[in-house]
Amino acid sequence: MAPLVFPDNTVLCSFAAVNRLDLLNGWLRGRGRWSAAVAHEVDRSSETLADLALVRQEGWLGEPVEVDDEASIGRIETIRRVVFGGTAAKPLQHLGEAQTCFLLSEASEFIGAWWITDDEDAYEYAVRRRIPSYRTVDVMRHLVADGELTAVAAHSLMRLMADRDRGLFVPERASELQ
Amino acid sequence: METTSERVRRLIEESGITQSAFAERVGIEPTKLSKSLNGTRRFSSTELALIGEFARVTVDWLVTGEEMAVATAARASVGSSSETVLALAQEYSTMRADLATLGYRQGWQLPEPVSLRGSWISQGQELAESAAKRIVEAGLNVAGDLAGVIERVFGIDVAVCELGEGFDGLAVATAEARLIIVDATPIAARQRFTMAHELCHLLASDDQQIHTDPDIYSSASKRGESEVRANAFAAALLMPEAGMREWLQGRRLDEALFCELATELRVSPSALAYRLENLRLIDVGTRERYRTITGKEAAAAAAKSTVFAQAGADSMTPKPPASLVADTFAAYENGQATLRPYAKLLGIDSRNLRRQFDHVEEAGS
Repeated sequence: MAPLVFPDNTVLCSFAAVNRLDLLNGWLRGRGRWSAAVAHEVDRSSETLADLALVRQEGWLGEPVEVDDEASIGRIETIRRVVFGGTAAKPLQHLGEAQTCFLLSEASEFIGAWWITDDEDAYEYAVRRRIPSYRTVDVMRHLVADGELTAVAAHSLMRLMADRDRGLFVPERASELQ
Repeated sequence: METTSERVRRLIEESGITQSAFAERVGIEPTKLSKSLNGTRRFSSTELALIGEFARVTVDWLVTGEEMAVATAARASVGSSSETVLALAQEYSTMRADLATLGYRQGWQLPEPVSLRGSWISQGQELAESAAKRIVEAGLNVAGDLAGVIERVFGIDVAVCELGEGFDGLAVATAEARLIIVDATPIAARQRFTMAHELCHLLASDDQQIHTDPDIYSSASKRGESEVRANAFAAALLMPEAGMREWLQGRRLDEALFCELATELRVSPSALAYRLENLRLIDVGTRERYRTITGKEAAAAAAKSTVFAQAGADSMTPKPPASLVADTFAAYENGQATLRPYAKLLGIDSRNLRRQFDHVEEAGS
């Protein structure tokens, strides 16, 4: 069975910024999931990137995954602060990352799922914790390999994402996407 | 025991708005809120964070009903002059407690408790002697970097930060943290006196968790018993009797020498004047004359204006707590945390910090 995929708000925003969420959705092929806090972050981001509203409306990532047992909630809160640098006084700060990290590393039904993030801190941490982790650049490489995009087109899209203030890793040359 | 639902219900009552208005303002579906309050469903992680953000309470408190006293104090201080320092105290104390869950403990080493008998002043002096002994044994002295001395000798964290007008410092003692926070001020002597004052509160275990000192020189401060002790401690630690008598031996304590001594010890002329009078080294009239000298004037008289200027620059420089800096970086290096907690302590964005870490200096280019 193909692993589930948890794209975070940074990645969804990158594709929304160039009006190509359809590419990401096609690549996910129904495998996409999101935590409730990521859904909340996406809702807020949709105020500036209108395309993002489609993610919830079309159900691309399914029902947001909720965590409601108190031990897990406490654990997420600790991860949010000590791993991602959130403060106790701002409970929503980095909550999406903390929930995703918890689900992918400590919730048995999601261990082995992929985390897609363009946040350097989250990506580096996840790689070091051996959580299967990818960035938009990796999604683009898959899309090129699948014949959905040429390397040049994928590279152009990534440069456009960067031009639109999306902080993501963009390879120097299109050939690096092949 | 109160449940999460009951705590949320209490917050709704305290908010003075209806349940449905509360749901709307927080951003939770009213039916979900109703079911959670009635116990037919549980609150989710995200809902509790939304409620916490709105009602200014922590998720830990919503889940357990417990929180550090410093968190309670921080919440109660919103809008007051102590808001900044208590928010910082909450943040550092929480970081310390969280790092303990990763295996990083502060490991303070306090001197053996002294008997704390006799007058408050003599108790302060006795504590100061005990502390001074530890400092000397470590091969250090208090005339230099006092924050560094406190951190190295006692393992107590010291932070320097702008605390807003009229707030000198604070001491925190929690299960996982021993911390002093002092105001960033150009008057180095005042900052050093505050650090020593707060050190006494921690060594004497004056308060359960948190001790705030808006103004250590205020008349109210001088009346409080533990404040009298802390001031006596600071005076004795920073202006040790034996050391001063030795320094003064064979010399006439005139105004020029007084200014030199104040500059040498890095204390305010006012504090030194009172200390010398208490030690019967000057009379009351001389004390009254000397105590009106400013630190800047004393430094100029001692031909140490440059030293005074640098000390003011140093005491204005923010400083994060040393053990937090060390342990957040260790947690990052060991793959247990992102770079963000360390970057936050340094007051820098983690992306910028990463760029600077990755930058290879081209020596000679």
